[in-house]
Amino acid sequence: MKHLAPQKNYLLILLTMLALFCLSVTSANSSAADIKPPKGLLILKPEPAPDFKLADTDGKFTTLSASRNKWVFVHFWASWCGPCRKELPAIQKLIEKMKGTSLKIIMINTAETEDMIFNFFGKLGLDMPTLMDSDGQVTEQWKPRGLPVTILVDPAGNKRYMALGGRPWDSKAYLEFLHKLLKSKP
Amino acid sequence: MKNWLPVLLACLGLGVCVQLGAKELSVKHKIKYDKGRISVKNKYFSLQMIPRTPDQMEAFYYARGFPPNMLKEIRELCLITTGLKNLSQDIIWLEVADWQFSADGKPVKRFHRKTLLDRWKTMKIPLRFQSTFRWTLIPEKLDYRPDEREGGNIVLPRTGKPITVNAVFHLGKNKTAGTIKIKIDNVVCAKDNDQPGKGKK
Repeated sequence: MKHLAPQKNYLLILLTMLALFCLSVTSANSSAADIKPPKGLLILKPEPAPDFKLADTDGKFTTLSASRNKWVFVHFWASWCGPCRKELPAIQKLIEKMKGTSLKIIMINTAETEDMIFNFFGKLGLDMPTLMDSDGQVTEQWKPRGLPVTILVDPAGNKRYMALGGRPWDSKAYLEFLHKLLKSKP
Repeated sequence: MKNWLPVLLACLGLGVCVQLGAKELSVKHKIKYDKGRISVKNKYFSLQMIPRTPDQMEAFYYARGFPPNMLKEIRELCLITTGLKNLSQDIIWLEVADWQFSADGKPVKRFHRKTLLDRWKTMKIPLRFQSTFRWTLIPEKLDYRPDEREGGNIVLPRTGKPITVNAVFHLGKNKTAGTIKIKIDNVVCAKDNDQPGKGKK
């Protein structure tokens, strides 16, 4: 068997490195549409997410449009809904694990009072900021399939994914998916 | 000419298949009754129906600050908390409008969510309570995705007679992959003095 000439060897190595570089660049900046979501996330036909201006339990107002250019995790919940109670601890962990990333997490309570939220969080040992959709009209406008619901909004302000019922947001599959989204092109 | 015959037959067959796309599937259901609670399971989905007593519903909504006049009206209704989980890999359509409710052979007219929300509007119930009530109702129509679980209350006029529910579900994105029909007897509006396990199948 003939050995390749040293020059040919270099060329081969160079080409392999180039191919690897191209591959890494492509995967790092792959389009969001190419990322396969984990089971339980529904891919939506992109459409503008309705803006809102809601106060949190401390009276501080937040709008969705203020988070333009970021992926936004919008979660609607209520204390009376069983699946919400199950899912919220996973979201609490998600908030901790995604600290320092560009993901904006917005929790929206549907049609309850500050007292109800305070008591409920106390019982579950939760500590997370939540906006209050006091009259439920923002939730109505977003038309979720049910409660709880999470909708992922892309940096251009379009709804892109919807979670079907409560989801294990702190699991490896979901965290990896979110990290890939943050690196992707919308 | 002979060559055309198989093609013609294939086309005809395809046409018939498309027409009969929503044919009724022969499905084995396990229906269980336990203290008034009903659960149905087959290879496509699981369904639960839990009749609630007036006290239960009043307590639930009272805890959310509902006004007395709304609570009074809710007490007079028969609320059945119904949940469906899709166990299949296909889409399952729930359209409550297709379901039939009857007692003693006579139809029992279900309250559409619009009817109830119109009632709350007429009573000038604050939006917050209208919204919470709305979210506790079963969706009028929903395409359940694989593994999806959703539910809510079905609202009927309160009756002391056992109710028969003829539930219909369609399968597939375009509802053409088949239809599943289930007859559920002995659905009972729960009363406050109901003793668990007594007087119910």
